[in-house]
Amino acid sequence: MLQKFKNPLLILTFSYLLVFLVFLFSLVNIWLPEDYVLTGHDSGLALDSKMFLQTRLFAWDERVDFGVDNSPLFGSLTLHFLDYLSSLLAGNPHAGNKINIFFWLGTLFISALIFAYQLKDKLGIYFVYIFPIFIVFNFYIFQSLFILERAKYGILIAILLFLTLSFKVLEKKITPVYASIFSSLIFFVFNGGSILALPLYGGLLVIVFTFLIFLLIKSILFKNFNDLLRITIFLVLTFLGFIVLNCYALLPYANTFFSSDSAFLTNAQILASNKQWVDYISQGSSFINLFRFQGVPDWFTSRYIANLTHSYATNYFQDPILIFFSFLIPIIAFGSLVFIKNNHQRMLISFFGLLTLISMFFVAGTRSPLGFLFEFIYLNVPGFVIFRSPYYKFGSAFVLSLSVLLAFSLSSIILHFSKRDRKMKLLIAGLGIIIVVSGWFTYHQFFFSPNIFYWREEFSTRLNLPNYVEDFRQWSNQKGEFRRTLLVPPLNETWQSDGYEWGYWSFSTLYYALSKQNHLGNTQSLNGQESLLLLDKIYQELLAGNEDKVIKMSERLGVGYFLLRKDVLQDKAWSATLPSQLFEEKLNQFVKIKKEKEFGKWSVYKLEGNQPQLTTTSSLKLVAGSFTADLFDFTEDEDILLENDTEFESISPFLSQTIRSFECLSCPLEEEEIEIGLSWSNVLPNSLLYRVKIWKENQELKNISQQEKLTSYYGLLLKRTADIEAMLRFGVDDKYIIGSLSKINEYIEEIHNILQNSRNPKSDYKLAKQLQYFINTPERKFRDELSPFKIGNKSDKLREEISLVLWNINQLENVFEPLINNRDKWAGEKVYDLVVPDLKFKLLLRKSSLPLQQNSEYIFPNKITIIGQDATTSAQLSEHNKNWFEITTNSLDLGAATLRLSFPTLPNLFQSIRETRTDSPEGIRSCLVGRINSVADERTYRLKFDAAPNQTLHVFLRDPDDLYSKDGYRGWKDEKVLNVESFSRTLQANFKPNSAKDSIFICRKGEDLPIIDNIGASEVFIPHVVGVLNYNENFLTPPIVSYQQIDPTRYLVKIENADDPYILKLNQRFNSNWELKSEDRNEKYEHFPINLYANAWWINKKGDYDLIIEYKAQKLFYIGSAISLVGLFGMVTFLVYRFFKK
Amino acid sequence: MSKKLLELEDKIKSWISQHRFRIYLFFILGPIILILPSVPYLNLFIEYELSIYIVFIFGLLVLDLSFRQIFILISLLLLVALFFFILDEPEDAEKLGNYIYGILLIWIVREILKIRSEK
Repeated sequence: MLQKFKNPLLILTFSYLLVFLVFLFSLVNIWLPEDYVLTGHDSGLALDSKMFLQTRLFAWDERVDFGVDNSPLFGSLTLHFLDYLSSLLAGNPHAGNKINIFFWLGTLFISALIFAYQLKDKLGIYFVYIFPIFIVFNFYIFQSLFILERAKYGILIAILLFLTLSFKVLEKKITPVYASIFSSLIFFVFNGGSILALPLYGGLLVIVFTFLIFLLIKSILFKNFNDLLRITIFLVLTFLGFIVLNCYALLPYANTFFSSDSAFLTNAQILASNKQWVDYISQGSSFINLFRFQGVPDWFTSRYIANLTHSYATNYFQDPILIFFSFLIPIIAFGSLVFIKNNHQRMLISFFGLLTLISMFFVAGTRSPLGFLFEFIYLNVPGFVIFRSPYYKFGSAFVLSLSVLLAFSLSSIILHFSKRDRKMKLLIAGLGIIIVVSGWFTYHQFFFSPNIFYWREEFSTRLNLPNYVEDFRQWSNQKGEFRRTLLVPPLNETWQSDGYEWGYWSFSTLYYALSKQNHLGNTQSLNGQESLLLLDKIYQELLAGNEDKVIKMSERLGVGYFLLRKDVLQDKAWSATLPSQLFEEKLNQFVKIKKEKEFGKWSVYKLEGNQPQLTTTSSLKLVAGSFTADLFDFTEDEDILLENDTEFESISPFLSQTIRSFECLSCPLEEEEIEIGLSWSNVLPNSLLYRVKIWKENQELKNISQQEKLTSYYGLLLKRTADIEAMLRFGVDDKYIIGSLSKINEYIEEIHNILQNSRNPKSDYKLAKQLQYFINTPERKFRDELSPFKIGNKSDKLREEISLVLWNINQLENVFEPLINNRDKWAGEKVYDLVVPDLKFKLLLRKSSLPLQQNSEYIFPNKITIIGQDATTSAQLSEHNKNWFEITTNSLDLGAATLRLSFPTLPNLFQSIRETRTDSPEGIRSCLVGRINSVADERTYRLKFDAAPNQTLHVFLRDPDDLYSKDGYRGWKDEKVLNVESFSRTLQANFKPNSAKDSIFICRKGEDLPIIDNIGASEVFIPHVVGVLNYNENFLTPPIVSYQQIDPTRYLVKIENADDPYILKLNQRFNSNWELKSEDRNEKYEHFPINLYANAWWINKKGDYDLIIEYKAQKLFYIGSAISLVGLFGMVTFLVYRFFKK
Repeated sequence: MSKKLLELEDKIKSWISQHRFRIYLFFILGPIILILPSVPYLNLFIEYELSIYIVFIFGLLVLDLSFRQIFILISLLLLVALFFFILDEPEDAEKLGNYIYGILLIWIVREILKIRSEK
C-alpha cells in the first residue's frame, strides 16, 4: 500500500491536483468575495442552510403557502447536508457560499482525475492532466454555475466514478460485487438531489445503453460473452444497491407517484404542450453547434439568433477568432481516431466516439435531422416525457465523451513531440500541457469574470444581501408560533415571481430561502382556486382598506403577520408588482393590525389574537355551482363547503345556508365568433393514401360512444373543409372537391339527426353554442368561395354543391332557432336555468354585475320573467343589502324554472374618433382612434363596426401616450387581427380597458385608413344570479379541542366534551395523505376539503378522547430510511471486513 | 515515366477489379436514389438533399476510404462550415454539420468492426 504512494506518477498527480485546487480556490474568491452570496433563480441555495436541511426531514413543508407535499424531495437530504457542511466551514449560514462552489467544482475535478488516471496506461499519461480541465471548464458546466446546479454536478461526478469502476470490472481488477457496492455508495451520496432530478440520469442511461451495445458487438465479434456478463452483473447489482440505499427517498414518493404523478407521463395533452418546450430547448442544439461544445439553449432566442442578454454568448457568435477556435474542437476531437496506436486504444476511442455521436442525437432533441426520431421516442416511449429538456438531461454523456476524444488527441500530440527529444521529454510534455490548459482557459476567458452569475441584464444570483434581510432572518427564525405571514405587495401577477431592486429574483420566494416560518403569497405552488379566490380577495381588501374583511380573511387563512417589502421590483421594472406604498398607506391606517417591527425597507405588521391550526365547527355554508369571489359576501363568517367536495349525507345537519350560483346560459351565444384554425391536409382525395385516411376515420367513428358522435362529426366536417381548402388552392380536379362536399353534406345530415333527437333543441343553449362554434368556420369559408371575387373559375356543379352545403348549414342552424342567428339579442337578454328546492329560497342579483350608464348608474332589467313548469310570472328587483338585489315574485313554484332578464338597449359608449399614423415593425399603420366613454373597473366592452371587403385590420387597446417603450417598439399586447375577405362584414372585438386613458386603435397597414362604418361600443356583462336558502339554526355544539404539534407531519389532538357530531379542521392544504386516526389507530374518519383549501374530518364520537393526525408519506420515509440505513451498514461492514481480511 | 503510368494504370485496374461489385452497385443504385425525391409518396419521406447525402455517403463507401482520409474530408467540410459561420450563414453551416455527423457515424461503426480484424 505504502509502495503506491512512492509512485512518482501518483505524487505528480497529487501535486497537480493540489495546484489545481489552489487555483480553483483563488478563482472562487474572485467570483464570490466577502459579503457576497449565491441565491435566487430557483437555485435551492438557502440563506439559512441549517433550517432548510431540517425542513427536508419531513414529507410536508408547512412553510410554503398552505403547505406542500415534500415527499418527492427527500433525496435532496444529501445535497442539503453538503450545503450545510459547507456553510459551517464558510462561517456563514448561506448555502451559496464559496466553500460550496469550491467543493462541487473540486470534486468534479477529482472524479475526472480518478477516471483519467485509471485510463493512463491506455490513453497516455498526459491524458490524465488534460481531461479533468475539459470536464470542469466547459459551457455545459458553466451554463448552470450561476445557480450552482449541484444535482447536475453530482450526477456527472457519479458517472465518472461509475465508468471508472466499469472499466476496472472489465479489466478484472475488481469483482462486479465489490464494484457494485462502491458504485451504489457513490450514487447514494451523489444521487442528483431528489426524485425530481431523475431526468438528469438521462446521460447515464445513454452511457449504459451505448456501453451495452458496444460490448454486445464486441462479444459477437470475439465470440466471447464474459465481459458482457460481468458488466451486466455489475449493472444489475448497482441498480439494486441504488434502490436499497435510496429507499428513504423512493418509498415516500412511490405513493404520490402511483396516485397522481404517473398519469402525467402518458397524458397526451401534457406530452403535446411539453413538445413545444422540447422544440424551444432544442433550438440551438444543431450538430454543428454541438461539435463545437456549444448549443446551450440559454444562448439563443431563436434558432440562429443570439440571446443578447446572455453575459458572454454573443462573443462566441461574433468574434472570428473564437469562432475559428470553436471549429478546431471537432477537428482535434475526431482526430483522435487517427492517433489510435493499438487495439486497446481503438476499443476505447471508438467507444467514446460512438458515445459522442449517440449522445449528440439525444442532446440535439428535435433539432437535428434525426429530430423526428427523437420526437417519435418522446411521444411513444412511456416516461420519456421526463427528458423534455434534452440538452440539460443528456449533456453529461456528451461532455464526457467529447472531452475524452479531445484530451486523447492532445495527449497524443504532446506525446509525439516529447518523444522526439528524450532529454527534453519532460519539459516538452509540461510545456505542452501548459499550452493546452492555458489555450483552453483563454478560449473560455469569460468564465473567470463574476459576470457569469448574471442571467439577465441587471439580474445576478451573486448578491450582496442587505443587512435588514439578515436581521429579519434572525428575528423570524426565533419565533415559535404558527402564523402565516402574508407577503405584501403580492408577487408579480404574470410571472408569479419574487423580485427585489437589489437583485434577488426567483419563482420561489426569498422568504422560502430565508425563514422557517410559514408564509403566504400568490406563488406558483397555489392552484387557480386558491390564488384567484383566496389570495386575490385578501389583497383586494387590503388595497381597499377594509380592515374588517382583511381580518376575517386572515383568520380564515391563518394569516397573523403582514410583511411589507418596500424594496420589491415596482413601477416600470421588468416583472414588477404593485407599488408598496399603496399597501403601506392602508396598513398604517388599520387599528387591529399593528406594526410590530421594522427592518430597513421591510416592516412586519401583526394581527392580534391566535390562529390555531386545529379547530372544530358545527356550522357550514354549502356552495353549489362554481365559486366566485363575490360569494364571500355570504360566507365571511362561516366555513365553506363546496357541493362537489363531499358526497355523504351526514354533513346536512351542519348546514346553515346553501348558496347556489346560477350559470347564464345565453351569455356564451353573444361571445366573439371564433375562427378555428384548420390543420393543413397533407393527404387529399386524389391520393391513394386518402382511402387509408378515411378508413382510419371510420374505424375511430365506430369505436366511440353515441354521446361522443356529435363532436366527432363536427371534427370530420372541419377536416373535410380543410381538404377542400387545400384542393382549391392546388387546383385539384372538381370531382374530388365535389366528393368532399358530398361528404360534408352527409356529416351535416348525421349532425341534424342527432340534434333533432336531443331533448329540447329550441332551448338547449349549450348545444346551440357548440354548433355555433364548429359551424362558423366552414360557413364563412364556403360563403367566401361564392363571392364575386372567387366564384369566377368554378364549374356550375361545384357552385351548386357549395350552395347546397351552405343551405344545409342554414337548416342545421334552424334547429336551434331562435337561439342562434340572432346573436345581438343575447346582449340584452340573459337566461338562467333555476332549480327551486324550497319555498324559502331567495333569488339574488349582484348589483355590480349590472351594466352601467354613462353617469355610472346601473342599468336595470326592464323585464324579469320566471317561467315555471306550470306558469310564467313577472318579478321585480328589491333592495337586499349593499351588494345584492333580491328578485321578488308573488309565487315561486318548486322545481325547475327559467329566469329571463331583459335589458333595454345599452348606450353606445364609443366616442371621439380621430386619425393617426403609427410606426410598427411591419411599417406605417394608419389608424382610427377612439375611446370608451366612462370606463369602469374590471368591465369588458364590445367594439362593433361594419368593414368594407379586402382589408386586414389590427384592433388593439393602448394608452396613446405609451405607444413606445424606452427601447423602441412595444409589442402589441392583445392585438386582434381581423380579416375581411370578399364581402363587407360586421366585425366585433372585446376589450377590457385598464384606465380611461386607454384608447381603441383600429389600424390598417400602409397609408390608407381603414374603411369602416357604424362603429359602436357597449358593455358586455353577465349578471350574477344566486339562490340562497337559509336553514333553521342547528343546536350542535362543537367540542373543545387542544393539540400538540409534534412535527410538520404529526399532531396529537385532545377532544373534550364532545356531545354532538362535529367537524375537525386542519389549516393545511387538503391532501389525501393527511389521515385522522383514533389513538389506537383502529378508527378512521371521513376526510374532505373545506374553505376551498384546508382539511376537514367529520366525527361522530362522544366524550373525551385523543386523536392523531398524520401525514402518511412521513411514515414511509421512516420505513425507507430504516431500509437504507440497514443497506448502508451492511455494505460498509462488508467492505471493512474484506479490507481487513485482505 | 511511362513505367510509372503503367503501374498506376495497373493499380487503378486492380482497384476497379477488387471493387467492381461495389462500383456496379453504385452506378445502379446511385441514380435510383437520386430520382426517389421525384417519386410520388416517397417524396413525403425523402427530400432531394437527403438523396444527395445518401449517394454521397454511398460514394464514400465505394471508395473505401480509411478513417485518415475521412478525417481530412471532415476537416475540409468543417473549414467550409467555418466560412459559412463567419459569413453569417449558419443554416448552410448547419447542413454541413449534419453531413459530417452522418459520415462520422458510419466510419466510427467501421472502426468498431475493425477491432475483430486486429484481434
